[in-house]
Amino acid sequence: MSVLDLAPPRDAGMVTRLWRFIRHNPALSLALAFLLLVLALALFSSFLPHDAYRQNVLVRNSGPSLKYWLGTDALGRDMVARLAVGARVSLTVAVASTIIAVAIGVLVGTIAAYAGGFIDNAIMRFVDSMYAFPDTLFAILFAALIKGQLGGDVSGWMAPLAEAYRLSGGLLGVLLTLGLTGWVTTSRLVRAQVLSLKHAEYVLACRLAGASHWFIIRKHLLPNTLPVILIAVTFVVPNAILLEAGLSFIGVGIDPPTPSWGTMIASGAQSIQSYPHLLVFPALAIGLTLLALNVVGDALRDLLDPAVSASRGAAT
Amino acid sequence: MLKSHVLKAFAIAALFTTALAGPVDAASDKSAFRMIVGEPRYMDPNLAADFAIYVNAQLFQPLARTDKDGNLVLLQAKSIELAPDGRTWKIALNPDYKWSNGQPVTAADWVYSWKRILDPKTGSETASFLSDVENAMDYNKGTLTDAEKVGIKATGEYTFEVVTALPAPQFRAKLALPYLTPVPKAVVEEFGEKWVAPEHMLSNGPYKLVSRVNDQSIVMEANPHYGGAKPAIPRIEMTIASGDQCTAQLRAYEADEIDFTTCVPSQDIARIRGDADLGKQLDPFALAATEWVQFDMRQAPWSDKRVRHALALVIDRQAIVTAVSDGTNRIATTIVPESIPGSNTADALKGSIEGAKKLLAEAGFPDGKGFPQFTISTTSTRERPLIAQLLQQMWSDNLGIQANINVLEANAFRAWVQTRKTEKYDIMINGWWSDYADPANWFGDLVTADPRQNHFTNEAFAEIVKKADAETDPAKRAELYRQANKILEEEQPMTALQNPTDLWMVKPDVQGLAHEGVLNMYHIGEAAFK
Repeated sequence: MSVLDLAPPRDAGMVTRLWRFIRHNPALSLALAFLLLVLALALFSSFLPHDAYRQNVLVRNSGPSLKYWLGTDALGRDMVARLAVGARVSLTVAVASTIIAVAIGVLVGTIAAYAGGFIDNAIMRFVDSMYAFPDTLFAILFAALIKGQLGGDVSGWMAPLAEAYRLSGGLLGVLLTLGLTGWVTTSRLVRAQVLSLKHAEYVLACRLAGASHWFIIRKHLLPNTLPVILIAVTFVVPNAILLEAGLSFIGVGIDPPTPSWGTMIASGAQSIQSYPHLLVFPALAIGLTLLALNVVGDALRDLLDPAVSASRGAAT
Repeated sequence: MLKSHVLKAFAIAALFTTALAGPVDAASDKSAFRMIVGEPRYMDPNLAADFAIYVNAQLFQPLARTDKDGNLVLLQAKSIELAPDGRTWKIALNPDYKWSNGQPVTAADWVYSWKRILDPKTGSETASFLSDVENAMDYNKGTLTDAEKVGIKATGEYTFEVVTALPAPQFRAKLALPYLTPVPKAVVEEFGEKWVAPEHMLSNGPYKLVSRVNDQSIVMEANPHYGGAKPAIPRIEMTIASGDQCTAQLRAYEADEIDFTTCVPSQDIARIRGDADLGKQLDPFALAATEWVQFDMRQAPWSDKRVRHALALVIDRQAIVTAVSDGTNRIATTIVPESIPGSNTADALKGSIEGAKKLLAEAGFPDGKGFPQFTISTTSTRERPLIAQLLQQMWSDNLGIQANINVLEANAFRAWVQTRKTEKYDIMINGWWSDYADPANWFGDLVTADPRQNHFTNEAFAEIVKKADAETDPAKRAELYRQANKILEEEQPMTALQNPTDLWMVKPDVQGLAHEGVLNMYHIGEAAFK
């Protein structure tokens, strides 16, 4: 092989670079493969041999077998199907609450940094006080509040919201809870990035040229915070999955019979002495998914962070 | 060389001593009976209304017990007689029974205790057990302030009388309730609320309280002045567990940390029953209790009897009993358990799934079309969420109607049920455990008083129950309750699902631990280590 071949072609596209990065990183490939599998299960759970809700008390609590690959639960429902539907719930929660959380975080962070002065101070002290709360505790309080407000008979302007909550089997409450509690870190990251960009010469030039605030934010600041936002996403998503599991575990999350990994772990934990498979499989699902997400997050940061890329380049 | 021999000798000696010490240690351990209980809300027997009565029953003793045939077996009382007027109960105490400091238990203590239960300042939930007593409820509600007018009075140092407002045959069973014990008047008056502290508390039962650490432990030792047979087990060590009692108990039991469990978690029953050793240690007791699903009778569509019948007829009770208890619970077809006079399984609702579909169509919902989506509410404890999911599927499969499930944590559920007095709901899962083996405890305390917020109103039913309550002839009374039972099952305001079975587990070296009464009490004072 010639030396020339080893040098990356100058015009290699983003896709090629990404593919190379993945190929040279076995942990990342494994993680991506696993996440794809979870995603496929979530999307195509209806094609599985068993229905996640179909009860059959005659085969309840049976262990893994050819017919039921990961066994059945206390009502004889197939664990594979339930894990797949649970993945759908977990991923929906993760994606939707991350969108809410990141949107709030970016908005708050940008406003604080761009406005500066008193507004910045006020917003960031509020963020600090949010930080002081343990987020699980905050999420529990919030989820219990939502369940209390929307779970009963509601009339007036909240009625449609309560109906949506009821139809979603508690999913809406979890989404809102996680979205409204998960934005704090993102806002800090975005604020730091915007602060450093605000005084960049091209922003100054733009302002002198008479550009509006909104134009500057849209054209210059937001695109440049994108790497930071992506990195924020990589830890908001696993956190959301974990918190949803926690909330469902203690009973303020998803209502039965909808399976979520958290509720499956909760009922599995009760059966640990008699039927360990009811705990082991959902726990593995959540553990491996979080591990994979973390590996991907790390890799993404390596890929996007110029400092890390540079040092890597120097080392090789 | 010599050194190594000495070492070897030491090693062998050490092996022998440990081998010998092992069983000796284990035997000396057995001076205490170990168990796990939940934190009692009250140690005061005048206030304890929840599972604390099981803890309290080791310390405080009622006048008598009720045997299987409903006869009184006297304990603290020497005699209990009903005067010819049918209202005056004359009670003579057995002076052999003493407080744990050696002082006699007097009629004054009993009268003081029962009036303290009724005192509105005490705010005791057990006051309802004395509701038959003349003027008792007026005093309890605060409309009568003179405690002297309440029909409980001492007639001598060891004799007292209780007068009921009307002839109340069911009061005989209530006299034997573990809720109605004496308290030491002098101590309560001196120390107030603090009288239950181990340094002050006096008890009249087989044990006395030695120490209590909140949320940690309760220790009892034999009461040296107890008037009955002295306990063979000198000491009880109770560890307090929070959360799911059954799971905590079973784990400790399997780890040999406790000698006795009062329940087995639903998901472990099959494994325990299948285990050669553990299966033998199971000790089931069929309770006079029912778990059911109930409708909000004030609300459409539940106010329509055809809808209630349709929902009731498609329930597969065998599936429920199998799924939640591995078949150890019994199928219940009537709300009032079979063992209670007046109940009869012949009154149970009969029909088929086809019939149910027809009824639902007649009510205006053919194939479930147009039926509003509704919510099944349940507590998170026991196996209730499983029951809710089974019902959800049975109703959806057979009738085409869709339910949501609302699971509430136990305390939240209790509070939620209370607010259903005025707020609406659709369907909830609930249950009732007999306090005393008398139909009044079901037709009166449950259906008429309606603590479960079922809102069932039926004039004929109310009339019959009122008549039955005052009927002194047992046969006529049972016949009246039977009529009430027919109405209850025909109206189906609640649909019975199962009669729970208590599953005790007792270590093989414990003997004589028996199930007592409809409440399934245990009396460690009557057990012994082999």
